Amino acid sequence: MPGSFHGIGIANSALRNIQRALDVTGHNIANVNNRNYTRQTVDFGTEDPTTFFARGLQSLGSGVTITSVNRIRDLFLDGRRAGASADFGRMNSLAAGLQQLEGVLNEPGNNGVSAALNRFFDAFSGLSSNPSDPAARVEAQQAAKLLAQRVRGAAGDSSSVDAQLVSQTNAYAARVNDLSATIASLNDQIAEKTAAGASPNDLLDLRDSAFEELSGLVNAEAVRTETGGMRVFIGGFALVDEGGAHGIPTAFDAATGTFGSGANQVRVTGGRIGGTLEALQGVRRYRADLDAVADAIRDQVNTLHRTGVAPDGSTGLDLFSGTSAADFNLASEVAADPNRIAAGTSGVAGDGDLARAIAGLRDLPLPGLGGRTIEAFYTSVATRIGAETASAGDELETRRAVLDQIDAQKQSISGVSLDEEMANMLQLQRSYQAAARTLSQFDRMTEDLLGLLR
Amino acid sequence: MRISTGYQFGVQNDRISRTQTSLFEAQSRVTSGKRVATMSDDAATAGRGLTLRKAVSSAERYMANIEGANRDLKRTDSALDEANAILRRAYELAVKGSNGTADQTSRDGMVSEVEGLRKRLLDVANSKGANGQFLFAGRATDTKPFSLNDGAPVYHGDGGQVLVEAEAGETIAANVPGESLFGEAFAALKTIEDALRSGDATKLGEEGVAAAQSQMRRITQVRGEVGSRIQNLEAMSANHQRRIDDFTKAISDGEDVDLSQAITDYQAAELAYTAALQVTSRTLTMGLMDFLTG
Repeated sequence: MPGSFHGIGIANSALRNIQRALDVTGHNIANVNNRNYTRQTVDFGTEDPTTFFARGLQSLGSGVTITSVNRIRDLFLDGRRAGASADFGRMNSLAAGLQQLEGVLNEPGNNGVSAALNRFFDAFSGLSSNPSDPAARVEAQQAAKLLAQRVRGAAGDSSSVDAQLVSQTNAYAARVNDLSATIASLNDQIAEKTAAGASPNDLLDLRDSAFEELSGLVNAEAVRTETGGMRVFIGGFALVDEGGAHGIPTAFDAATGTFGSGANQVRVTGGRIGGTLEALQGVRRYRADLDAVADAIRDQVNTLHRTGVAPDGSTGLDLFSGTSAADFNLASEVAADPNRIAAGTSGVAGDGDLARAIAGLRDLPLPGLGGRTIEAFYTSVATRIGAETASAGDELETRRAVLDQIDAQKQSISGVSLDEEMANMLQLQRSYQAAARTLSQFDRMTEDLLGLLR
Repeated sequence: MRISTGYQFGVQNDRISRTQTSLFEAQSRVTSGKRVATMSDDAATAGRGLTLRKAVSSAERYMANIEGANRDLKRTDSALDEANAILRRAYELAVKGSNGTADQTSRDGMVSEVEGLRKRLLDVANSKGANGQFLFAGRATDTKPFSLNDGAPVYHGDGGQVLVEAEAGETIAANVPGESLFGEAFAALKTIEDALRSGDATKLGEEGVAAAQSQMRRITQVRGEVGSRIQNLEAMSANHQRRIDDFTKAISDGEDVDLSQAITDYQAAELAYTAALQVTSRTLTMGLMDFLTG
């Protein structure tokens, strides 16, 4: 049986709940610039009705209540976004790494290894044609020195890129472990709140945003449990589960993309880590190719040069020293005195046969270089890196477009629209005004009643 | 589709940044003139560019080799011209000395002139090239090839050819070994001198004249051969030059921008950027709030 002041109760419930709904709108507006925010809406429901007698038992409404504060989000999109984000992160790191490698290459132009190769072979052709010209001999020495410098420089620069990619990988792996710890801790907080019956929307946002960042770093997959928890897997490796976070091991092998070893092994194929490891493979492959070029030049040239007799009478000397590209250098004897460069084998001043044979190496297919000439080999290496960099750049744009499109869909569903919130606000404001008017109407009626008694 | 505020701003920012990037790229293509600055700009073209650069670079080297060889061969030719003049003078002396009107006094005068000719011939036989190398020493270019021992020439050089790389794997000799050429020229002078000294007009008229003539013929023949080598080299050089021109053009065609195209692209990019800015400035200021009063 409703009391005399039942109407005041109804108006009161309206005022109170409309104000709460306005709070939710305010919260949405406040978070319009928060990228990780999911907009919230309010579901209104009626209070339990009361009954009264009038030609039988009648039901009478008791006002309004808020049944839930919803988080507007599409979990299916979240799943798609994780994959797209890992693909984008992978291409982003791969393209950036390959661009750095291309910078090391410094082709085409006059500043790369290929220009130094040309100058070297040309200088020996010049020496063969002018074996008694001191200037031709100095040019041969300087051209050999430049070639050694360029090869060494490229080896040094690619080592720096290598080291940088390794430390980047370590930093990303550390971040993955931070994020997995965050997710595990949020899992606990969310479970606690959920158990108390609340919907911890903002905590869910935090957890989703941690996972979004994680999915850009590594090919991670989130599985939501029935109790509201989130499990995260990288391949078959459980990064986060009910037992908490299990960090990925720190030691990694770039060639296979695996972290750790034995039973505790994670294979990373995507995300920034996956892309960085692929770039690292590219850098190491270039490094191996550069070593092959340095070895081929050193072996072939030295073998010939050792048979020569130099103007100062020295014989059996190497032209180049070192054991790889990193220490590829002009032999110290030859660096000290150009008259230790042999142009011929006879010791006669006009003999340029040896220098011509060295110049002729440029057109000789070499077994150490897959049966190609030194220049053809290096050109193919440069072309390969250029093509890989270009296709990584193109692929990156494709992946960016896919991710952008998913983000647009997500934004469309979950993003705050100020216009919409404004309209909501107006609606709530009007409702509040009407509820207040109802209250004052009851007040006046009550006043009239009390006036009768006076 | 529902447009959220963040999305609206994000898309517009993105649009501005994308059109700005294109504008910047178009601008740098116009200012650098390069379409292919790195391998990834166009890997196939850039790779071909590397191969073409090698061809240009070696052609330039072969041209320089040829130029050096021609310089030496031209010096050789003028030395041989000088040797020819010496032999012509010896021939004239032999003819004059064999004439019945010549007496021994005038022949003795001719003997001292022949001695002078021998000295001049020695200088010619020891001629040097541009790098200070002896032209007629064979490959022993740092050894003075001829000395005289009691009027008889002694050769210190060898019979080797100084080879110049004029094309890949193609060599041409840039020298003429002088042993027999100058040896026999000295011998001709000796024959004439001896006959002048002994007053043997018959020997002078027959052997002396014949020796001078045969050496002059030989030198002319060698000069002809040197001349044809120079011509061959010049033809090869012209061929290299043509290749350099062709390849340089091919590199430029592949790697440089077509300027009118680049400028048109730049204008298009500028238009797109301006449009993005205008659209953004109009839509960003629009919202329900602007239309609500109170």
